[in-house]
Amino acid sequence: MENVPNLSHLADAVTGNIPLKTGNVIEYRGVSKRYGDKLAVDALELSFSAGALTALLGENGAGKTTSVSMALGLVRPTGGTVRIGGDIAGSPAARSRVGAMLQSAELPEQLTVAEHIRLFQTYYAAPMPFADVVEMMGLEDILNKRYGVLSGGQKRRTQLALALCGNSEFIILDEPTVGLDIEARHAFWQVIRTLISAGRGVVLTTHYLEEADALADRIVVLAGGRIVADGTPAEIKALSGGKLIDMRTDAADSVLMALPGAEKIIHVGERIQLVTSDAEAALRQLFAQGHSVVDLSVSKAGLETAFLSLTQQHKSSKKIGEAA
Amino acid sequence: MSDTSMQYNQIAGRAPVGRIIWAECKMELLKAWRTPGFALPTMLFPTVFYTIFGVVLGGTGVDRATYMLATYGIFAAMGTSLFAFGVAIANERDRGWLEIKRAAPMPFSALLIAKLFMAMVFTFIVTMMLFAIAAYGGGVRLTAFTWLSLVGLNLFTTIPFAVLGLAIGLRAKAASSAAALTQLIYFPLSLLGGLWVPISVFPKAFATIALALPSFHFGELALTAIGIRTAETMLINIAAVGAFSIFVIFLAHRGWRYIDKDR
Repeated sequence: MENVPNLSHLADAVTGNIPLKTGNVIEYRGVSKRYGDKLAVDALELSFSAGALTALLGENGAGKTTSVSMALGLVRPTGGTVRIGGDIAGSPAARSRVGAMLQSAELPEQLTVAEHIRLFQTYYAAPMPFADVVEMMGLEDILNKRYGVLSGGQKRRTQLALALCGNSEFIILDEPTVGLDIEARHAFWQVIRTLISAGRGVVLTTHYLEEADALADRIVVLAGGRIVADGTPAEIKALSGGKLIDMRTDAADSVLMALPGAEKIIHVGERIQLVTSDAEAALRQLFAQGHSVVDLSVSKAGLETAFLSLTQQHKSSKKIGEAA
Repeated sequence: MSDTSMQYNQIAGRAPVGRIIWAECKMELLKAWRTPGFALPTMLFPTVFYTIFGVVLGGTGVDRATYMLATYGIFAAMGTSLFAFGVAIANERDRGWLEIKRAAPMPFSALLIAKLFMAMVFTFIVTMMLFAIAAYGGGVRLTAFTWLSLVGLNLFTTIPFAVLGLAIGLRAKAASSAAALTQLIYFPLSLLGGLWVPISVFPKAFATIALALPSFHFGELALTAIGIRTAETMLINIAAVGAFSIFVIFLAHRGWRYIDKDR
């Protein structure tokens, strides 16, 4: 993003002058979505609250986009319901409470940035004032440019302007910074932080771990349409906070969990991954007990490892489930 | 009722639909005007063809210019409506714009109304251009009632062909295939429906084919309006136009279900 305005004063403008649509949560109750044979989302129980940023993290096909699309009313759940503060997702009332920036959706090229924003404002009974939208997104210099001639970063900013111009309580961003360079991405993050400090609830899907870590109050990790982890970034990291011992061993799970610092065990095929805060002591004790340990490796567990191991845990547990 | 729920109801109230539709209409007109690929062919084809075949090559003059004013008006109306819907809707669906609209708190019908409005405005503009060419270049003289009847008929023709365009736009896999399909429908319908040159210049079998084409029946209605056909055949034409309208509504409904089933 070319010029990054200081937005802190706008947080007051947004919360102060324009009353926020009150209400509380986006709530998923037993929500499933099936496409043919494929279960994209599996019995999701989840809620997002205003004033916080929740990152939905997962690999491609984990069900992130399907999940947020159901909150927007773009995809109908096969089972269960999604409600926005009591209103069924997709109803006009629900739609007025959620602004959205969709993945790979483009606006008509022939209209200018200003025309796009003014058109979108007519959809809302109490939209954010035009000048505030423009200032918040730093669009002053490109207001009279047609969408078709904008740079990638400018296009994304215009899309985000449409997502927030309704002054909705929630804003859903589906992979908002894909294709942006580092600088533009950081500028985008600043706007998102402003939105949160203005009391908005932001739900963001991403596969950039850095992005989730930098922005989120809460990270929900999805794999195979299910939640495999849900916590603060710190908690998600702590899940694999210490070291990750990857090995094949004859030791039973109960023995492994009794080792020093042991936090959890992940079965990956025949291999076992043990997450522990004290890898050296754990291995020393395991050898001392006379267990066989082969194909051993020890690695540092960051958010990336946490994310990966959680996903693998899901896969392996599913395998076990299928075998049983 | 608590204060908060009062406040919520007040704020979450709906935006006036009339204002949304008006804003959409303005934007659709702007978009169409700024798209040379739409504005040029829809206005250029009918006026240039009419000038060449109806006025310049007119030879014997007034009769031919009058005859073709009627049929080229239908040709123009078909063009604006098919392209405004078939190609534009497919294009916007392709780009994900329709999904953004669906997620926004606006009635989808507002978009359809706005696009139809835009198509009708363009039909009106081209009709006026044809009238000017006919009156000043071709020496066509008609009663005020006849001029008005032609305007009304052209505007009416826009509606069912817009619905056909909608069906194509919803059903097409990609915008490019919608454009190809639209042209594949537009030009044969016009030629074989006798809109470019009278169907009588073709071998006799073509007259039978023409009977099955909606373009032919709209053209015949226009010829009735200028007094070349009699009111007797008009009932058949009206029945055919009615059947065509029902058919395209059915197609558009199928198209809607086609894109809706994966949701």
